[in-house]
Amino acid sequence: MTTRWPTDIIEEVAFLVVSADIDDTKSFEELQTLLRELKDELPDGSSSELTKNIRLCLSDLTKLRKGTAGKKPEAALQRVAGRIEAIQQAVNLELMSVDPDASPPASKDAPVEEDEPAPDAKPSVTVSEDVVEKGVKPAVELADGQKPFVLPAWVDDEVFKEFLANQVLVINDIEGDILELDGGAPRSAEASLRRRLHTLKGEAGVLGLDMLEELCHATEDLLEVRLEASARVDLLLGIKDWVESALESYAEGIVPPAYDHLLNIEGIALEGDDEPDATATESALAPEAGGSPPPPSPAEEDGPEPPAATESGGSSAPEDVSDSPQENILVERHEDDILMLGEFLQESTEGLAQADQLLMEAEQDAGNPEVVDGLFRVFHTIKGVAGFLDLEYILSLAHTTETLLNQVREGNASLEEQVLDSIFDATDLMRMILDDVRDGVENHRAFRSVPGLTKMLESLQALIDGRPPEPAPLPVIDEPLPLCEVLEITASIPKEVVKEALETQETTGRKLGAELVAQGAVKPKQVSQSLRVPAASRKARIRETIKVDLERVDRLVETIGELVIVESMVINAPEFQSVASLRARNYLGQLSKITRDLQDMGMRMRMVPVRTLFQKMARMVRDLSRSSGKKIQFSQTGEGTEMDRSMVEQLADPLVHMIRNAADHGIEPESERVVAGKLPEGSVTLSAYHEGGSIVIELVDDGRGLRRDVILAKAIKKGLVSGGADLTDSEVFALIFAPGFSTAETVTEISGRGVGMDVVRRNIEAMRGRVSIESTPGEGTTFKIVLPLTLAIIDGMLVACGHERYIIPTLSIVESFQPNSTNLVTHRVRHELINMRGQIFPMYRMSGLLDVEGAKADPTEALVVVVESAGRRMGLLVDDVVAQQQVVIKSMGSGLEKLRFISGAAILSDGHVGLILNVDEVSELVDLPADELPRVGDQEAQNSEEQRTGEPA
Amino acid sequence: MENANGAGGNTDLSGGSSELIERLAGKYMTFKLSNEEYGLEILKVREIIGLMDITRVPRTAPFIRGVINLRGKVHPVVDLRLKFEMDEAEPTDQTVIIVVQFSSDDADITTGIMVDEVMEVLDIPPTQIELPPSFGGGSDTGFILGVGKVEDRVIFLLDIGRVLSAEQNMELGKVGAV
Repeated sequence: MTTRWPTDIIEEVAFLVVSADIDDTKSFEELQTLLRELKDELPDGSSSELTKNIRLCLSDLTKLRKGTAGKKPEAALQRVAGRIEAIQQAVNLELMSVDPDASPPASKDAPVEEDEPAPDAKPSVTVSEDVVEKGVKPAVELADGQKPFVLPAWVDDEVFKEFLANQVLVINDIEGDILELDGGAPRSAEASLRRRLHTLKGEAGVLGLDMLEELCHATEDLLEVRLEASARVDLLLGIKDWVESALESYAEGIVPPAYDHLLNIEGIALEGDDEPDATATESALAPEAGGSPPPPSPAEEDGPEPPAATESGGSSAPEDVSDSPQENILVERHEDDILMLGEFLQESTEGLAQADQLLMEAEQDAGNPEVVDGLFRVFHTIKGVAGFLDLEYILSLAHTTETLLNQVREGNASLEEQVLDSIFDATDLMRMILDDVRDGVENHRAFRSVPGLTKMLESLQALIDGRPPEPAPLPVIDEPLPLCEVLEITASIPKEVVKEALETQETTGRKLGAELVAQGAVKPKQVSQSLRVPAASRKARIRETIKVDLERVDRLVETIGELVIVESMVINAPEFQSVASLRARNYLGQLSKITRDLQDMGMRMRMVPVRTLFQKMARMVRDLSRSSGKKIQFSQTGEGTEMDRSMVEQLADPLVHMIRNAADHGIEPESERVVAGKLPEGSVTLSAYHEGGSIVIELVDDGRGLRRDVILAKAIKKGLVSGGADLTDSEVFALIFAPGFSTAETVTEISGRGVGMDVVRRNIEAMRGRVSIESTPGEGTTFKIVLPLTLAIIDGMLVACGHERYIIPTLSIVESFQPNSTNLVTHRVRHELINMRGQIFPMYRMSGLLDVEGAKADPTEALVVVVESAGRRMGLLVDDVVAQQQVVIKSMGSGLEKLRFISGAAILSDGHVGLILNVDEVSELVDLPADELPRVGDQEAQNSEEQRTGEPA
Repeated sequence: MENANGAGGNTDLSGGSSELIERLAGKYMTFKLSNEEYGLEILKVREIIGLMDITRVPRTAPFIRGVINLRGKVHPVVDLRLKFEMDEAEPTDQTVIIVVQFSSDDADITTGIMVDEVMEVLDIPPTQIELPPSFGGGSDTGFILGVGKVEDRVIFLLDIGRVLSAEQNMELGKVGAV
């Protein structure tokens, strides 16, 4: 076994588990192997918690594999996923060598709570026992009303003690800050107080001191509320006192007394409940909490573990505890991921808005299947993308909601009352998770489970199972970690020093890092190191986008196109050409430049990267690989290449067909590959790149390749070509694009009906693109799609013929040359062929095709433009090539769009209209009987067809 | 006198003739083809431009003169003389292109029509309008909505949508498919 970094292994594990499927025992095996490898690779000092988690995962996976994971294998899988995330964080943490105080390595196991607390799921019971066993035994005599405090299993006793010791100073600082609030510098005091509270909250969370954590949180909220200064100070001092006593209680192993009376202030009245219920307090303070009063949570007094919840199902699990450890973990995200996440967030937010709309419609009209379908689509889309992006909380919520909606769809439930409410709530919760993700991205921290998620999943599941659900309270999400804490954590700087630096910073105006170095607290190297860890204050930008009606963009681009034309008309007008004034020429030059810039920007407005498209394909390859039982490795390059948005959309269908073909026909079964001496795993590569003024999308597989003889035989059988035709490879391969052409012996689920490749060609040609095939038997096939940069502008060659001018898209042009008599072959007197370096193909006179008068009659005085379409070449005889230029494509106007041999019009620089030839169709102008269309390179057919044509002019 | 708008391609012919005439009354722009005078509902006329360079579009019916660039937009131009099977005439400095705009099948269609000469804008009252006579001989006169009689002039009131859209498209479709 090669030695790999544990981080690499766990990353692979994490990837696998997200994509794992319940029925896919193979992936479970793979996961186990990887986990064992990970266990072996772990450094010796690794915490027992980490190894325990791995062990639990392994046992769960075995159960899953054997199908003994209880009634809800999904839940078990989800649990495994949760654990693996915890392992991943732990592994990452361990290798980051973090100050154990600020972020104890013990935090790694926290997400045990992420367990879907599905009733009767065995493993959760195991976990709870574990906790009880491992917990610190509270050998304390309890006074009346006191409850024992059990330190959570994952918390190291030493760490806990150290925490308590540190808090003495912290409490003093907090007190100082509070008193300052009333004094000279309220603002900075408030900021400092916030920071301290936030740190305390985080640490309390890590250590499982729920009540402390919740109080800190509530206090943070409280700071948002504007109160009269002295009242506020009193209130805060009361809180501080409670914190102090709570710390003492914790130290003695007692759960601290209730604190909610502390927060009972005017204006934020608690919802008259007498229970010492922290959750209620929080909800009351949180504006989002809406009407639903949260249920009592007896579980939290017993420690942070949720086993109680799994038993009764009626009590709430204080799952928010699990968030905090993750909160401290900083995550470096790749810029591409951020981009994708941003896109996802935007789309999902829009989707949810739509869902709201639909839900409101459902309230009026519960039975409307369109509403259910619409909702289903929203959640399905979110689920799909969340799956890609490893957003498991979103994934699980979307999945469960989708399942419920499916029940509705199938008529097992109706979209009314509880179901409707639950979906409303799920939508709201989803929004909160999305907010958290946005926040997480911006602050480089790991994503958290949002409190209430488990509850929500439970109640949704209940509805799916046809049980009445528990009301799910809406939770609150807390603040991100500020910069100073990052420094504290990563550079192991004592808090006091940082605090001091923060204070002096205000006067010196230096950056925090510089300040610390100046004070000698840290070495510059440490600062730079900790800066390398993305700090909370250095926000990752989710790029802001606005949604603009595509029509508006089109109109803008069109108008810019007009400007470009007018600009060139102005510049080229003889009157301006003759202007001698240097200044005027200068102005004209500037005008040109700005116009070009504007044109460039206009084009870019519609451009999007092909990434999302490629990702869909990646997913498809994976699915295909599954369903066909072939192992296929998918790789992609150039996914950042930008293309016109509508082209990306139009490209999806062709790619789907091509990839299906590659997976179904191209890649051989494993056994066959091994015999052929290839790697057992097939490979499909999708790449995008710029070539000249075009974009190339290339699909390469290393399968068996196209079989020329089979294609040819089939084509002859279908009458597409005649038996004696001498065709080049590319001409033969182009035959597969003919409608109804399929060489597959059997029609499979995936492909073989012969519609696919026809679609490929049509779609690509509709974008004014070309597709060509190269293939080597036994080695693989390459599909190359060449597309123009944008749909609105093309590179064209302006050719003259008689008194008329036409534009031939440069993309279709192979070359142009002036023929001499040796190049020209006359076939049976009437039909002209051209011989270009031994290649013979038909030559059409443009004057003949387009009835142009006054064109040059002698080909040797004219030019042949060699064009290619669908793998077939032909020559077009024109008088001259006038210019090569970019043109803005215009519609031909009412009725004339139907001319297929003209793909559009363009305004030339003199203001006249030039017609753009559609090379793929122009040869069809040769009069043909309708049943004998020359779709593909068949020279015989072509020639005989030409015989029926009149002599070209 | 409602307005000329009612006299569109979707004119309800089932109404009584007086009603129909009532609806036809309104403002018309009149133009000349050879020695005949025609009227176009004023609301369908977008502008009148002088004869400009027209790019021929190959393989289309002869009456399609080609396409023009009208402020960056491309529009077809129909020679109405040829459309009405009159003799082709050399353009004079009176020859103009009337740009008309109308809806057909929910699509806005803008087309130029080439005519010999634009006359004037006339407000034709119902009293001066007659329904089209039956020409007989199977000739399609459906595109003539009515006949205006102003002083001693006879003005054929055109349903321009009918003149251009259906038939023209059919013709074009045929050509395009070749």
